[in-house]
Amino acid sequence: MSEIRLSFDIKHNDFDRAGAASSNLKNSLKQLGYPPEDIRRVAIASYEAEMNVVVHASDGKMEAIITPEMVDIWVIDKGPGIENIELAMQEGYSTAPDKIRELGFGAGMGLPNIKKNSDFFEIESKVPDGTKVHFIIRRKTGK
Amino acid sequence: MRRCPTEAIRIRNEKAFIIEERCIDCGECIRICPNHAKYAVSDPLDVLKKYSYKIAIPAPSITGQFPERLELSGILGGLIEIGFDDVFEVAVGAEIISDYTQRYIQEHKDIKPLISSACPSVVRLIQVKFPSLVDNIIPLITPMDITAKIAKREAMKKTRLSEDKIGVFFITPCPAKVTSVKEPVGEEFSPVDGVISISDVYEKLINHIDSIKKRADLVKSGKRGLRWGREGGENDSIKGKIRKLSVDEIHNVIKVLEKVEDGKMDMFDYIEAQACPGGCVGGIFNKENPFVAKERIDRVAGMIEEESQESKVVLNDVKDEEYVLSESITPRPITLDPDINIALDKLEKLNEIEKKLPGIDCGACGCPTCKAFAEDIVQGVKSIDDCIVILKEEYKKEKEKL
Repeated sequence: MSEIRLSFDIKHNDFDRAGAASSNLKNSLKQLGYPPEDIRRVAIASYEAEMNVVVHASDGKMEAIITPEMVDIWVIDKGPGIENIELAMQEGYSTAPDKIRELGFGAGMGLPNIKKNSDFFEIESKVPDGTKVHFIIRRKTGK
Repeated sequence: MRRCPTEAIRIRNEKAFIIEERCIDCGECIRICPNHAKYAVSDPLDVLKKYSYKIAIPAPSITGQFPERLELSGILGGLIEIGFDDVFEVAVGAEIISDYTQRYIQEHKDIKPLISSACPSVVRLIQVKFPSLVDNIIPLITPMDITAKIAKREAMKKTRLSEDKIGVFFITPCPAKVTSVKEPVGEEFSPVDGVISISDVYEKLINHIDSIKKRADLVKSGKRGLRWGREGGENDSIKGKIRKLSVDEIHNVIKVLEKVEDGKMDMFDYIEAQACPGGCVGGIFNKENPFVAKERIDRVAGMIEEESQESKVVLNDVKDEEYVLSESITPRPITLDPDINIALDKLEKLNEIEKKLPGIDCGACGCPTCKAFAEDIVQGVKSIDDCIVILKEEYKKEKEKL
């Protein structure tokens, strides 16, 4: 069974490089000939997950396993963790400071958007250790 | 080579070589190469001879290309002098398309943002590099196509000639339009019969512009349509409560499309995207500096009516279905292999090779980047020994051994 593992570091507050991990993942899927609709879902979900680390967390990493059937993505950071996950999952809820909102981030759609665009979603978080977001996008078979 | 937005250029046997399926005809290589290693092809003026009645349909950007004293009426008069029987400005068609675009956007609020289909390079860029965005391209024909259809119909009425006797020629600022006529996307056939470059017309006229007979009777365009020749003009021409974004220059377009793909552009209803800097005035068949040409178009546009009366007249003959592309625009992504299992293996190898490469994108191997080089190795067209940096290190090691 063919598969490929990709791993990217994500740096907190590094807005110049923000989006590099999801962009790289996106381009890999294009090279593999993944169906366009699936690439779009991966793009949106992985970008949101990456930005969550850049905006809210300390450093982290994104790990992706691509197989002919699915893209399995883990985004893991080193803290500070989410206090109330239920609240964070609500659309429009955000703890982003004004400074971040001015940059166009922190609309409170991050986690709900990841969930909406994936076929499997789980989140685990512990204050102050960090957060693990795990989501899967299954490849549409056929055309 | 490195300037190419789709990494389509390789150096093979000391010559720049274009990988056809990657090329989007943006003209960036022609604009940038000091040695003119690449040039573009359009139809020679001789093709006019094949038809009994010849109509020129000039792009709005032609307005900015000649010395001011020639005026738009002189440019159109000049087209008659070089052998055309009639002129129908694409600016008139642009106005008609703008109104239909407004309607289409308002009726399709579910797709956000819609992206203009007017620039053929952007359409091809999306097919090749942004396959997930093909459904965002507004499926409407271009101002060039609607103008060609109308011009031919009007000429058939006027001359009573059959369709095949009438030739409609687009006067183009860019080579991408040549390709979009020869190999149309979203249509089976292009309604345009030939494409003549603005530079060929310019060379025919420039030496005797003071003797050209001005033909004010041929000028039918309005301000709205004329300003399509520069960036922002298309958006300004689309009325109504629509949130629009305008982006020009191919690398800028790529940055915006990346954001669309990431779902970060949903606040916009419409994106006018053009491959050339400054919009069509930046096309490589133009003669005038694009910034000067832009000002000149605005100045001429400022002297005419906002709306073209002609567009209202000919509009009655256009049926709704004529605006819509007859075929869907398909993704044309460049993949490592049609079989995903093989593609995965190749990607794995590609990533391994890339780690060994210096990553300085020197280009000495004939590939634009180390990543593209790694891809060429995986595809079997290059070997790792073609990397001059690696070769040098090996040479050093060998020397030390001795």
